Amino acid sequence: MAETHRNLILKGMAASEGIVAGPAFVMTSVRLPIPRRLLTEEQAPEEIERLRAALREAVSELEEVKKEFGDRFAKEAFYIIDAHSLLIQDQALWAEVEQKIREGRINAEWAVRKTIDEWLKAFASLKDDYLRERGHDVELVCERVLDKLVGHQEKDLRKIQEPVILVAHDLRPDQTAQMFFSKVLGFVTDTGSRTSHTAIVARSLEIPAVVGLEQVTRVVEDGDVIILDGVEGNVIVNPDDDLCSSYLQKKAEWESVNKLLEEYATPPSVTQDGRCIQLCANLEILDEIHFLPKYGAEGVGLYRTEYLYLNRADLPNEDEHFENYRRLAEAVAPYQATIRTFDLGGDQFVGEPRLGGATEEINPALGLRAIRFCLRRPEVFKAQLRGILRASAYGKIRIMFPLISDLNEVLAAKRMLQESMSELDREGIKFDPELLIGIMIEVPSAALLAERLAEEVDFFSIGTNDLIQYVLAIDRVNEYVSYLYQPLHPAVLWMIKRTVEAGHRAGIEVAMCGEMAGDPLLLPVLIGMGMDQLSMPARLIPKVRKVMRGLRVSELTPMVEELLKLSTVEDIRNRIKGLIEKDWAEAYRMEPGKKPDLAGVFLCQKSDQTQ
Amino acid sequence: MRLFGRPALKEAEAVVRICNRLGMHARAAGKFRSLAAQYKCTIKVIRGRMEADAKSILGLMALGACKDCELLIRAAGEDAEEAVSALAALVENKFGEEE
Repeated sequence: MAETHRNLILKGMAASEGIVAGPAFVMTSVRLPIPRRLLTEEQAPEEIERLRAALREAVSELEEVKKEFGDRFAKEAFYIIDAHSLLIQDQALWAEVEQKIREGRINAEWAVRKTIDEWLKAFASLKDDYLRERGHDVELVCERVLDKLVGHQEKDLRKIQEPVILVAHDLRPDQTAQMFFSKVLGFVTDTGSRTSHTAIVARSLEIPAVVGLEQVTRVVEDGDVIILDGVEGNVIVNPDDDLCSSYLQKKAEWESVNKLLEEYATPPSVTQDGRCIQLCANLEILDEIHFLPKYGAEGVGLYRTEYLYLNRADLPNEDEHFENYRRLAEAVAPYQATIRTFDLGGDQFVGEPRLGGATEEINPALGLRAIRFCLRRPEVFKAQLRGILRASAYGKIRIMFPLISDLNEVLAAKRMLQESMSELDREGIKFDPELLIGIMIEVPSAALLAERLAEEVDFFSIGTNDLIQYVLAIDRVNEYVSYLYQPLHPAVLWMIKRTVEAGHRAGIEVAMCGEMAGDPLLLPVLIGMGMDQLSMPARLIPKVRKVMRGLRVSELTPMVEELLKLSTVEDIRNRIKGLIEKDWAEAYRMEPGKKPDLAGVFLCQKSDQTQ
Repeated sequence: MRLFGRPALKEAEAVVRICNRLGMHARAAGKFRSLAAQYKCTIKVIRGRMEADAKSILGLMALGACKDCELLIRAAGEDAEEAVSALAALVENKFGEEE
């Protein structure tokens, strides 16, 4: 077979972590065409019998999967399969198909297709996102029966006993689950996203996966060698020796670090000399909250509420806000969750008709976004504020306003919150009257005014991504200047130090929730400055916790003073790196004593295969 | 009153509000259907202009009955009243779900 692609890198979405390599096993994704035949009256009963036989076969297969997996599944994965098994046994659905065969005199395949299409239309018109998406489940279930009818022998994934990487257009959640019993190393698909059912099942069963590759089934052929990088979301087709060995190394590092970090997946997060700093998770999708305990997250330091607004035609109403935050508050217990109010606008909402007004801004990062947008659209903001307040009766949550640049904005936002509180009071609706109110410090003016702002709020959270961009006047997504984006820039450090000091003088907590918070290299600086809480992507927590346990505040405080005397990024970075090598080598060491055994799961060279 | 010895058709209905988080999704519809199937009467579930047979999971799902939606359950037959009150209770108990 000619190798059409060599060293081809495809970018997708990391759906489930892990790095594996092996020969591709391409699942034929081309659906067989649906045959269409008209029947005579005598043929109809036979055709109905054929349908019933196909259905029986499909049902018993699915039941078998369900039985086999029942107690081994994470709850969410099992529910998805259970729903499919319910749908396939919906007698009313099949009565409809039988009626079409009997009265329309059409063959079974055609009748099934017609019935699905009618139902899909009904589902497509639903307003509720969750219920609308269930149309996809209906389709998958019916296709299972169609496959039986057209004699498409679906590969039983459990029977794959060669170590391969499955390449498919799309996979059903139950197919993903079957892989658990096979030798399949991982899978890659054309469709899907991090939040699709298939991705959720893959994560709960720890099967590495990259999804949303768009054209992987067209590019890859059976037997091509593939590296699946489920950490970055990349797929490499027919890698050369150099790429193979660099990925093998990456895999070894990733696995040994993971192994090591399992020991650090539980609190406390404390320095060697006893300073506790909360390590919290940034959260975007509520369902992901179930993964937080795995990393020992001590609460949610930043809940991005923007996802509530995306992928829908209208704006969320108060009840939807409330429901979402109530679930957050209940799930995060006994810890606390910090909810950041709506932070969209600018580039993320270009041409967004629901939000009206400024749709094409020349300089969106400096435009009508976040708190500016909210103050301008009080009805949109109010719905969120009331939702948060109502949820505050159900657990520990606090509220945080983004992109504050001025005292007036804080006062205006607090006034609206106060109004919402009085309304709820009058309506007799419960909320936490002591709800903590905080602001993001991400605009230089706010950092400079931190003393004044601290008098008005209960906590600060430093948003480093925007702060760096604004302090240094750098557009991070502009490749010509992105090299100037430097967290260790002395001006950035001064801003942070100022903010922490102002907060502590006023007796309020200072947190950090930007990318800087999860970078072990910067950790000594952040601890030395006195940060009270760090919030980062959950998977980074164990690593940060490990490093933290090897550091001493008593050494870091004077170090920060020294660093602030330096004038350039390079000097600062070199000083930190020097200290890491000299004094903190143990804290930063990421290999465990024993190398994990990697043989047999990283089949990168063609010669490795027996075919 | 009996006419020609046949019992008069009994009817019953009730309005319920969906209160579980996910609404009438597959498993909820499955429970609803199983319960409905235990009664002899015919049962319709109506939401706005949409109507579904209580014995069709797909039909129930396609009502798009999300949280806080109101549904009208209407039954006709010998055990209509029992059926309606049992089904209404199921909906009000969040279909046995936690949230």
